[in-house]
Amino acid sequence: MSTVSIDPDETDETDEKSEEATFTSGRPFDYVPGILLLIAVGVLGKYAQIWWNTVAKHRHWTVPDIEYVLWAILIGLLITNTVGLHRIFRPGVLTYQFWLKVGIVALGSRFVLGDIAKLGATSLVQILVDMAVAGTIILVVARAFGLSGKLGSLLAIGTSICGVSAIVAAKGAIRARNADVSYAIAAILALGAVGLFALPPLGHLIGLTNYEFGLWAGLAVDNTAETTATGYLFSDHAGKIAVLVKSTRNALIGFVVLGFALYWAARGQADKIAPGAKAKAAFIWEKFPKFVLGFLAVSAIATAGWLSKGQAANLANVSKWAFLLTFAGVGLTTDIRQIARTGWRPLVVAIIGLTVVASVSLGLVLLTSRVFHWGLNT
Amino acid sequence: METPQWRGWLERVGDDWWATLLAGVIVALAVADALPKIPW
Repeated sequence: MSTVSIDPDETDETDEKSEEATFTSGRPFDYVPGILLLIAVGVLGKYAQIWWNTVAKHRHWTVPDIEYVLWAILIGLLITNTVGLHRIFRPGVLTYQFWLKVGIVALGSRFVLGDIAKLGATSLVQILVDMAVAGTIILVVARAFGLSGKLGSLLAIGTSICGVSAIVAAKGAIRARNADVSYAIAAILALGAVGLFALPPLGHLIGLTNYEFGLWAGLAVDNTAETTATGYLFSDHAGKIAVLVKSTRNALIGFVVLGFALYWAARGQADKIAPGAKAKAAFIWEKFPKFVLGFLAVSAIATAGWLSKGQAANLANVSKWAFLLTFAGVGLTTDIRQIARTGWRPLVVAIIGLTVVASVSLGLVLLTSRVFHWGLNT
Repeated sequence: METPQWRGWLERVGDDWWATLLAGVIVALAVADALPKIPW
């Protein structure tokens, strides 16, 4: 997630840039301090795990294996919420979304196209059911709390597809007010933070398998960086499944935004989409996350058998290190005070939203995995 | 001051494509064994 500072009263186009842009400066050197900080926090997280395990073993403690993912996020959180993140680090730290994309593209080598098609197809059904049920409930809850129709739409888009990216993509299309966009983002961020820390222990408590948990995280957690972190907090295998399911969700962004844009345009409250299938296809393509193509391309190369063992190992290594920088970025961009300042209503809607989305998606995962026996044999 | 043509072209490509292209370059370097080996 990107917990960026948003003032509901700000009304200009720069908001969009600060909410979503990965590359915020035209000068390459501006990125250096922040990227070094990401590396430092990530490496510190990695060594903290090793240190923790060594100390626990040495003193015969029975302690949970606190993964490097959690350490990197916690160290990042500690820095941002105590001394704060100096603006010199900001451009580099915001590249964590880029490292996430690098990690996902490289992860393509760990999946054969057949598995992607199979999991993509099964998770697509789950995503559509989840979106319909959870989206409807969120629209009803938002209305019950007196939130505007467009804020309800933004929350439904954010929770059903991919969090902040989807909200930003929908912002212009449904001509939402900046205040609504800020509230929706705050709610999604709060939801992501709660999900990140709540889902992995819950998954262990319920006794989910790696596959089931990966599916659950991919369906229930909204921002791709947090989905990845949540999955990897459970296990490496769960992390990979979560990334794949989330990428399928991300691929649907254009369709969902188009649906809401058409709804609001029909009510005369958004710009009309040009008539014809070609214009709608162009709209969907414009919103399509292009890194999914990179993931598929690398997977196709791996499926064709063009990668040696050494090359596949190199890609796995790149993926792990890139994700480590992402997790450091998640912690460094999460300002708890900012989330708290946004007000109680988006937070309540977020908690209800999380509970609804997590329950519906868990029900779907258990139904499809334990009753219908859908899934991968991996 | 006028924006140079190349700068306008870079901006038109968009963040998402840039991130994907750069990711592709890093992946290609890893496949070519040209990245420093940092053990996990």
